[in-house]
Amino acid sequence: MSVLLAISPLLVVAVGALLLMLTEAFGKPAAPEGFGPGGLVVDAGAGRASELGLGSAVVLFAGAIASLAVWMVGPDKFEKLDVLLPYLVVDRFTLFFCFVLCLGGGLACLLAGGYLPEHKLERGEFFPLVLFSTVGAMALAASGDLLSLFIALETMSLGVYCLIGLRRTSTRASEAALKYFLLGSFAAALMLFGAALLYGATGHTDLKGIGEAVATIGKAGSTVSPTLILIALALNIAGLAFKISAVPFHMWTPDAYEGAPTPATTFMAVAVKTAAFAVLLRVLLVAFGDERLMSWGTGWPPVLALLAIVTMTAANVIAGRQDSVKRMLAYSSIAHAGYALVGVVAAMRSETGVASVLFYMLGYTVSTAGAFGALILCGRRGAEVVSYEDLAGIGRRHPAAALAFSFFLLSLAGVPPSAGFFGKFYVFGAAIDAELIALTVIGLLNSILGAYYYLRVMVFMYMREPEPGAPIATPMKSGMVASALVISAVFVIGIGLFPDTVLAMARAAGLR
Amino acid sequence: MGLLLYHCGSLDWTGIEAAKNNLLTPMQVWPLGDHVPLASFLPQAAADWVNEPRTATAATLVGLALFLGCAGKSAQLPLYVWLPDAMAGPTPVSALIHAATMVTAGVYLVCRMAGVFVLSPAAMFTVALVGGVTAVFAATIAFAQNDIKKVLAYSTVSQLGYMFLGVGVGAFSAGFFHVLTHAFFKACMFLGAGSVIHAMHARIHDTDASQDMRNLGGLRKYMPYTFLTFAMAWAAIVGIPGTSGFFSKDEILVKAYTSTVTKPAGVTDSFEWPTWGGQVLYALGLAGAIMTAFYMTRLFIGIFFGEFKGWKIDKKWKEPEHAHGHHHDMDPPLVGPTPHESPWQMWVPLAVLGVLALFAGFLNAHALALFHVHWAPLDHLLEPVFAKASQSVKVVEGAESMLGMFIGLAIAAVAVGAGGAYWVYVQQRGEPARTFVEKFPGLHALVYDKWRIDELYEETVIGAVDSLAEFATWADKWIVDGVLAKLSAFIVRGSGSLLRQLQNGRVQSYAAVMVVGLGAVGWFLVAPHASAKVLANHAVGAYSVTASPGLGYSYRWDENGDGKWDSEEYGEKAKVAFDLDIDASRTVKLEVKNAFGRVATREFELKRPKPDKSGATTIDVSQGAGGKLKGNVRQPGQPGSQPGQPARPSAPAIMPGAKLPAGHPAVPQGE
Amino acid sequence: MRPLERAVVDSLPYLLAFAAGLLVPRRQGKPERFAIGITAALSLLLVKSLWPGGPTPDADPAGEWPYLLSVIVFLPIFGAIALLFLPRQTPTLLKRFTFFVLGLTALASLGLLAQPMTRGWHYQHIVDWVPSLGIRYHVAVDGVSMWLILLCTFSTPVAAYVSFNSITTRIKDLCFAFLMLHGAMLGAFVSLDLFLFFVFWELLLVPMILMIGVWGGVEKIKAAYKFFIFTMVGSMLMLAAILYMVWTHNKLMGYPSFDYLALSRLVMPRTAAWLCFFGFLAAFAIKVPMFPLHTWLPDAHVQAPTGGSIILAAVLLKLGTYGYIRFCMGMLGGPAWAAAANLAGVAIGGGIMYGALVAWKQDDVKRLVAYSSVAHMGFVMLGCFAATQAGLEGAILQMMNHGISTGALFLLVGVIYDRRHTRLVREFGGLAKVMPVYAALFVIVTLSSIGVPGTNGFVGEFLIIMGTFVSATLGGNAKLQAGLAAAGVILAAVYMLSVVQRMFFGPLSNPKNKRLTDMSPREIIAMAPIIALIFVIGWFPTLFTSRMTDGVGAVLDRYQAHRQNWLEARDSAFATIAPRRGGPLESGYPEDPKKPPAAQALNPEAP
Repeated sequence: MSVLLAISPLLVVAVGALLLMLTEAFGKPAAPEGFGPGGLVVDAGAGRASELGLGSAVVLFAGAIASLAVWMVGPDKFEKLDVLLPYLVVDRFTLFFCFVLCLGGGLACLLAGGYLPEHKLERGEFFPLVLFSTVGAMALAASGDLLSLFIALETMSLGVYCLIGLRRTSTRASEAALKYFLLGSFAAALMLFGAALLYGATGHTDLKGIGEAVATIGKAGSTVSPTLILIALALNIAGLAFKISAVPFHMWTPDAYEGAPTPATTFMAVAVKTAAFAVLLRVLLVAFGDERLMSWGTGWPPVLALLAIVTMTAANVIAGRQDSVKRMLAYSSIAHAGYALVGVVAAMRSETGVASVLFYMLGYTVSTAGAFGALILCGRRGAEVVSYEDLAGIGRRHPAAALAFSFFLLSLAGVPPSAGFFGKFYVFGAAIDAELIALTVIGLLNSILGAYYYLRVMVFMYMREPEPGAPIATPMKSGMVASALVISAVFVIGIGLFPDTVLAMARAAGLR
Repeated sequence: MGLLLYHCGSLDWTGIEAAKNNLLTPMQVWPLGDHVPLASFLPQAAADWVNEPRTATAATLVGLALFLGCAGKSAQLPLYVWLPDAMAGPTPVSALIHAATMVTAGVYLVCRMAGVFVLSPAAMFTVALVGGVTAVFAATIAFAQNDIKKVLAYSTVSQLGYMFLGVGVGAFSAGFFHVLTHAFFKACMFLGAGSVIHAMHARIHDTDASQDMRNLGGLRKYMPYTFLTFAMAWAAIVGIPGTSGFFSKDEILVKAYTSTVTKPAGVTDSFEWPTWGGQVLYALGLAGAIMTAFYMTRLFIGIFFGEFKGWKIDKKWKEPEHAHGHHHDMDPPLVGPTPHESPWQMWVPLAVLGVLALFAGFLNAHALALFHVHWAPLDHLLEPVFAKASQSVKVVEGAESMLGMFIGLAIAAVAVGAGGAYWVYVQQRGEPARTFVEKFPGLHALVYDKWRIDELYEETVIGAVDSLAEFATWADKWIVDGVLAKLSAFIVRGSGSLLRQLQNGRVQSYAAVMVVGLGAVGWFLVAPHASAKVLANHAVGAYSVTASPGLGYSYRWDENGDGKWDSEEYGEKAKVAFDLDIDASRTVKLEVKNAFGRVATREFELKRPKPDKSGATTIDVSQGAGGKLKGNVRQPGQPGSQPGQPARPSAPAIMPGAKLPAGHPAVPQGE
Repeated sequence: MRPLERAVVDSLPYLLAFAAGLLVPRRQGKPERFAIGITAALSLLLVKSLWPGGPTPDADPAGEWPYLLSVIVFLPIFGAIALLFLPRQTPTLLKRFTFFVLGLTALASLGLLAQPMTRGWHYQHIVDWVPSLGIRYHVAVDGVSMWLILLCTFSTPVAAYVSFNSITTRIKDLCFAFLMLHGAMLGAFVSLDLFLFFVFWELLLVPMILMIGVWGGVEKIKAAYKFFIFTMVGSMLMLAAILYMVWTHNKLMGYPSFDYLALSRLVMPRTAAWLCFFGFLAAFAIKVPMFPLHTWLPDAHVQAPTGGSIILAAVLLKLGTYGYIRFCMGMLGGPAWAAAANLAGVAIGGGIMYGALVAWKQDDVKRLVAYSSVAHMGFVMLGCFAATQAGLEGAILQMMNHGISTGALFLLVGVIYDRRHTRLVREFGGLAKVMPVYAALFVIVTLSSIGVPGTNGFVGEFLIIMGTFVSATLGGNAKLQAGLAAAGVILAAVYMLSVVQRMFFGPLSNPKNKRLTDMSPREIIAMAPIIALIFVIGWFPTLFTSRMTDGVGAVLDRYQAHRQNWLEARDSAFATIAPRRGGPLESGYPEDPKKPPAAQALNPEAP
């Protein structure tokens, strides 16, 4: 029983997903006219997207609250948790990530609840898909074994593949989905291969066991071959770097993000990335946590440092040259992966490294969700905001939407007092703590580049007037999107102003 | 002023008087800084000469600086050019102010600062010399002017030169006396000129023409009062014996010859009051006197004698309505009314000033000493002021006896000057002047244009600054801004567009890029890295090299730097530590073999520097705040409630290599 | 009370929030209303859970009201937030509200004058903010910052007043920007916690950019970008330096602290100190701005609306100099001292001289004034580098002078711009004939900016030159530098007088200027206090310097102490904590940990 309670967050979401799927499947269509986009017969569940959205949001928030509750009780209070080991590890690390994932997923669902009806994409399966891949993401964050890790990874990814292709009539969406699927399976293959090598080298699939086996290398009578370990490390890094979309494994990101409907993009940007970071941290610190692999001269820290630098720089530089806001946000999410990677590198030497990544992902989740939400809010059917010009002058016509948008962008840019700023601050503080001075300076200078293109949006919203005849964005009216924005805004401001509680939690959730 | 405040700690007269002995401290004037920039590029001798420190007493510096200000204010060389232009102002009254009162502020300041000036013979001599030269120089210019007000203006400059000559030689009261008298007669002349011009305006409305001597003449019979008063002033300025100008100018001349300024005791100032100083100054003064007499007479004659050249006089002439059309064209010769005397409001002050100009001299009639009459109330008035200052003014012996000669010379000068002018302009009707002009047109033009000093400034100073500013502006736009903003922006933008090309939407290329990334990661992990962390404690000379651990790594060292491996086979030893003496160095070699059997080698050059002596020079904290600590003490605030990150036992040094470990693995670690 | 009641009472606010969320929004479906209600309740819960322990201000022996500074800082900020809820269709109401808040702040700031500003910190208020990172809300003033606060509270209303005269579009955004900017500037001046300082420092940017970019001129967007990027570069480097120092402090003391006074006890090895110093210097030199980082200033000034230029010139630039005095000299005195002579050279050559020369060649009046402020700020920085009592007092006084005179100049330029919509000098000439009052005021302000005796500019420049002359920090170059600086004053006269002469005197050539109206009463009202101040400072400078003396003395003491540490540190590779000097200078230190900090050098490995 206590075990069930301990994994209640996953259960809540999973059960909720099933229920929603049933209601969605057997409910009658509320929309009598049976034609959706492209003349396709609209399936059941059409017209109730908003209800479904609200429901799934409630489910996900319930999951978040459940994980909070388990946190309050304390995972060590539950006995017989080790029956789950090593497949599911329920520790504070897991719970923190579960909370963040549920939050992100819930925000995405709220956005979808407003977005899908507006854009006549009332395909009810959206929400179960989101829920299931959220479950996968939570399981991914919790998984302490390569097998469960891989299953969870696929669970998460499959849902996302479908989400991207949701807009069936748009060739662009299908192309994006296909790309993501191909490359994703490629990355998954890499990871699988890496896992196989690890098993072959150590005879373990659970991360802890692998870590202990690696520790024996160099001791008398050790049969573990370091070469296999190193190659496996390289493969795993590559596979995970794909999920967090770090340069040069990022190429799918802009296309997929742009092709997918914006709520799906939001979900990918927040949940998938966060889960990937969770598993990245766990794999690197547990399986490859040996100090010979974490040393600065060799092992993964310098690799990730290089990845971080390339990611930040390339993403920021390219993002500055985008014409489509959505694409710009895609690149910005890549750049943020770079910042978070700095925290991961810092985790090699500093206790605050892991905590900083956790905190950063939370701040990033709410800020990004808010930004995408504002993007959704700014456009309505037929006049979806794509390019900067669409936003021209919106600060005059619809100050509220513009204010929300610029608020979240400022948070992403790292302007205090906001969650985004404090996350960056904490990550770079950890990097300094790990004596990565140059890395810190590079990251900070990068955030200037980032600030440039965030500012560019504000410039268009407030300081430009639309050219005569250009399509003018008119914000949509949706309580759900609005409430999603309010929730994220509350988090952004709250965490930005009073980060102490969250800091303590993140530090408590550290793996070491 | 800065120097004054620095040395005397006060800026009011008494304070300076009190503390003026501080001014005797020698100060290094050259080189300005610790060293002369670019001196290293000069040949050795030159460099030595340039670098050799030169000192002067603060008093000299203060004096010179103050005098520079005075020279600017009261139009001495080389800063006199502004005065005549200012005089060109339309109303004579403004000119009067310039002449009589304002410009003498400089003289006043020097007199006021007498206490400071006498401390430095060098400064005094400079003042005197500049004064004398100015007196002559301005006089030459006055020769060539035709505009009566310009003539008066330059005569003012020249008279001011006299005053400085006076105060420069320490005859403060004399200089001051001349200020007084000059005020009288020059004011009188200006007002006279004003009345003349006023008369001319009856017909000639153009300002310049109405002031032009060539249009004047013979006004004697038309404007008697003006003529009389002007005559008095003229007498005074040329120094007809008995008039005020005579007394004051004469006294200055005497003092210029006789007095020298001795430096106060205990001053290491290289300057001595030259023995020839007296003669030179006197000569200058005398020449000035002659020339003054000459051009003043010329002016006087030009205005009031000869026949009227302004227009043809027609008793019953009325101003035609359309007369404004042709003021300037002189043919047909203008017809106009009789030039009339100014109203009494104008000539009464003239009369007063004229009388003063004649008789004010007796305020300080030293010259009467010749007749054994000592009558100098002004001196007695000023006695207390200049008493201290005058102590250091020595009078060469036998001055009394020479007094007669001086006076004689002065009178002779007047005679020569005035007579010469009379001869030229009355006997010869100005023929010699014209021939002179025709013979040396260039010279005349040069003098007429005030020796082209303005143009000189225009060309040199202003031009240089101007071109400099032009260049600065250009550089600001293209170099500073170009590099900082434009170039960097261009680089970022360009690289962005470049990288964008990779995003070509073809999944194959995406996969290819991923493979490249994987290859890079794999390569880094497979390649061996002989990186190590170097800990150096230069203070105690303890050094250690710690090879960074790696999976399946094994190491071998060359610790003592003899070029041979300590042991041929690879071992687990990952750290060497040793001590070094000051200024000793050692090269440690490390070779790493990794799990793939590949090998990398790296050398570490360790050197213990000499103790850093920079900034060892202690600096007086005196300029800091007087360190009394008052104010409110309070409870120290709460520290962080839960200590966030306990200090970890093995924290590497923040050492000169504090920026290590550079975040970039490509950057080799640890030197 | 019984637990049930308590539960009810505790949950009451959440219920209320839920009800509000449920009932307030109009035109929403049930589920949305429900969601909003839930959201409201949850957000309230979140905020309540995140709220740190209540503020515990310590009682003040000197009877200073510890909340005064917080009031001064947060009045405008909360005013700005409240402003968001006012209807944007009522510009007059918005303007009145803004003035009300600004005036209230100004009144509150006058309360600072109640204290004679003796040594140590005044109106200090310390609240733990993020204890786990050693971040505290720590505000206090001393003789240095007090005058800048007053300058700020004095000039912002003037700027707002002027803008309201000229700007008619998007008043709400304008008011918001003004209030936000005001609060952020004040906060930056009072905060003694580096994190707090950085927060305010960054918070400044957004409203300023809005001001430039929204109501600016033709090139406004380019200018806004330039301003933003330049400032960001500086502040990011500063952030790195801050983090590094905090980390060092953490290593030594075992707990992190962002407290200015705690960090000012750090004695870091030279390389590290140099790096941190340059981090800070970059931020401040860009803000000041010092050559060659000044190129954002002319663009920003030219493009910004009059009010924006006034604030930019009057207050924003002062943040740079203030930051140098407070943080570079106060925490990194060693490198500051070692670099002072060269930096002073830059300040003279690149600031005073170069700025003056470039200003002389400008045709756009506003651009000219912008470069002239480069020159003036060069003077201020020179005073800081000289680091003598006179020099520093002069620098602070000159900050105010520059704020006053340059602000006034921008105001006047704005006046003529409103009439003619051009600022090119060659467009004007002989204006004195049509606009006598304007010409008179312009000449007065010009004289003050040149530094003619009797005006405020003279006092400041004189003090600075004196201080430079006797400065021991500048070593043998001091006298030369003082002389050059004095020569710079002449250049100032050259360019200012030349522009005045070209604009106001000479023939009234341009027919467009024939029918210009003279200054309106509102403009004169805006000018009056400035003119008054010009002469008050010019004649009675002691009114102002008397309150600076102790603060400046404290700064210099800290500076000297740092220099001593720097000299003792020599080539040591270890950071240490300077022994507590004790005394009110250190009031507000976090207390030492139980174990003596000196015991743990940074690296036990090294023998």
